[in-house]
Amino acid sequence: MSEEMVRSENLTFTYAEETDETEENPSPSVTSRKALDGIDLTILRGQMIVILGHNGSGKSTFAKMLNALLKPTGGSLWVDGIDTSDDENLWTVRQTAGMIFQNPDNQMIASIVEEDVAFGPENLGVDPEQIRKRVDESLKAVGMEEYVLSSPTHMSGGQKQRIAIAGILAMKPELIVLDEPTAMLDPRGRAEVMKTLKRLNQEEKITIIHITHYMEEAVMADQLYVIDQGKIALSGTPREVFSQVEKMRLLGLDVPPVTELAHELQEPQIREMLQKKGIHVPGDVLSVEEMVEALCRSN
Amino acid sequence: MPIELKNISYTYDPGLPTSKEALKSVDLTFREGEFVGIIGHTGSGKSTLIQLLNGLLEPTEGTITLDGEPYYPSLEKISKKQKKRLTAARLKQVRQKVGLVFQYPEHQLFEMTVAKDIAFGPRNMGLSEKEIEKRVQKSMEMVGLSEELKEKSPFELSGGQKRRVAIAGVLAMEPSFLVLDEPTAGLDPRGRDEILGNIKKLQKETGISVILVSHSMEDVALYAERIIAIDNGRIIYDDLPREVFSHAEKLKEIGLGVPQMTELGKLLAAAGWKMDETILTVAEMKAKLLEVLSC
Repeated sequence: MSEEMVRSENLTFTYAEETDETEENPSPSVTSRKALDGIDLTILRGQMIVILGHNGSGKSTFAKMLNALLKPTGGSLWVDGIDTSDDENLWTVRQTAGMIFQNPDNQMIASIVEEDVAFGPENLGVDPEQIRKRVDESLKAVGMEEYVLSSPTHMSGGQKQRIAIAGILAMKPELIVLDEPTAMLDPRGRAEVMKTLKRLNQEEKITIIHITHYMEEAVMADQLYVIDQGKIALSGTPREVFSQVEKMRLLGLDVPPVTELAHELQEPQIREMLQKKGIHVPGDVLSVEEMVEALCRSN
Repeated sequence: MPIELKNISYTYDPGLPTSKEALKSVDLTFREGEFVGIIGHTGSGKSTLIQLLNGLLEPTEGTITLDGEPYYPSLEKISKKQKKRLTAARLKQVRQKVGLVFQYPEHQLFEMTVAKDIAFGPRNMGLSEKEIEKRVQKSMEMVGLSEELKEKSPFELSGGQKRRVAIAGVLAMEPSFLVLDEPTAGLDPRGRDEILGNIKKLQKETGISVILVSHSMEDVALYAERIIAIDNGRIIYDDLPREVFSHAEKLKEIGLGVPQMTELGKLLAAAGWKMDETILTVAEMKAKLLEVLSC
C-alpha cells in the first residue's frame, strides 16, 4: 500500500465548447477553455484536504477527475497508484474514490434507506450477506443506523447527505471526494456532515478531499489548496493559508471572521496598545478559542 | 403598504395521515422599506411562510393582507366561481407587489437572451415595449449587470451572474417587497458579498422592502435590521439582530447558531472582559476591544 493517495503531474483539462448555430453565425465553431492548467500535487493517505477557489476556478473539474468522471487532457493523475486516464481502470478508480455532490436530493435513488445504501455494493456484485453487513456498518459510521428502514423523503438535508455518504462507504472506498456537500444545508446539517467527515478521517482512516466555500469548515483540514484560474494559487496548512488575508481577498475568497479580526489587530497602534497590556495576538488565529486564549493570557 | 399576517396557520395534507402543521397561529407584519432576515432550520416553516407571502399557498386559517386588502376575498354572497375569479385577479396584483426569488433561481432562466429573460415578467403585465425596455435596463443596473450582457445567452454567464439575471427579472416588475430564499447558496465569498451588497444598496436607495431567508448567521447579522427566527412552525423571536443573537443557547438548541464574533464576545465576557452588549461583526468587535483596552 503506497503512502500516496493522489498524485498529479502537470495535470491539465481543457473543455471543448461548441457554439450553437445561429442566424448571425451559421457555422458553429469549437473553442477550448482550460479549466485546469498544470496542477502538481501529492495527497497522502489519511489526510483531510480542503480545496478552496471561487466559482469557475476549476476545483469541481479537479474533483470530477479524481473519480474519473473526466479524464486528463494533459499530464497525469494517479489515485491510489492507479492511472485515471486508462479506461480499463475506470471501475477500480470509482470504487477507490467515492464522490458526494451538493444536492442530496439528486443522490437518493431508493425509497428506503437500506436499499439506497445497498445500491453501490449490489452493483459491485458483492454477495448479499456481505452487503447486509456493509449497509449496517456504513449507516452506523454516519450515525444513521436508526433509520435503516425509513424513507429518505422527509429527512433533513444533513441526514440525506449522511445517507449519501453511507452509500459511498458501503463500497469501501479509500478516498471520499465531496464537492460542496454543505452548500444547501442549515447550520445543524453542516455541523452533522462535518462531524461525520472528521470521524471517518480520524477513526476509519479514510482520505477526505472536501471542496467548500465555508471558511470555517476549511479550518479543520490538514492541508489546504486554493485553486485560481486552473492553477494552485496557494497551499499549506490552514494557518499558513488564512494568515494571507489580502491574498485570499484578491482571489475572491475570505478568511474566518476571527482571523480577519486578528489581522485587523496587527495595525501598529493597536499592537502597541495591546503590548502595553502585555497582550500578544498572533496574525494567524483560526478559532474563537485561540483568540480568547491570546486576549486573556495576561489580562 | 405593509403585509399583515393575522393568526395564520398552514397545514399540508389536512385530514390525511400525512398531515403536517407547518405554521401555527403566526402574527407578523412586514413594513415598507425594511430589511428583514428570516432564520430557521430546514423544515421549520420558513419556506411555507414565504410561499404564503407570495400567494403560492393559501393559509388554512387566518387572514393575510397587503395594504389592508386581503389576498383571498371572503365575500359571503358571491358564488364560488365569482370568488375564484376575484381571488385570481387579486393574487396577480399581489405577485407583482411581492416578488419572490426562489432558491437556485438560475435554474428557471429559459430565454435566448438576458434582456428577453428579464423582460418576461413585465411583458406578462401587459406593459408597452418602451416601458419594458426601460425596466430591463433599470433592473440590470440595480443588480450590477453591465449593459453589454444584454444580448448574451443567460447560459453563457457565470453562476453569480445568472443569479443576478434571475433577481433582475423579479425587480423588473417593480415590486414593493423582494423576498429571497437563500440567494447566496453555492456562491463563493466574493459573489455572496456582491449580491447581498447590491440588494442592501437597492433597499437603501429605492426603499424596497427586502425579506431574506438565510442559513448564514453572519449574513443576516451583517445586513438585516430585523430578524425573525422560526422553529417548529412558530415565531420564537422577532426583534433587532442584537437582541435575537443574545439568545445563543436557545438558537443552538433549535439547530441555528450565532455569528462567530457574538460567540467570541460571550467567551470574553465570561473570562472577565467588559463586554456589555452583544457583538455582531468584526468591526464592532475591533471597536469594542479598543474601547476596553484604552480605559
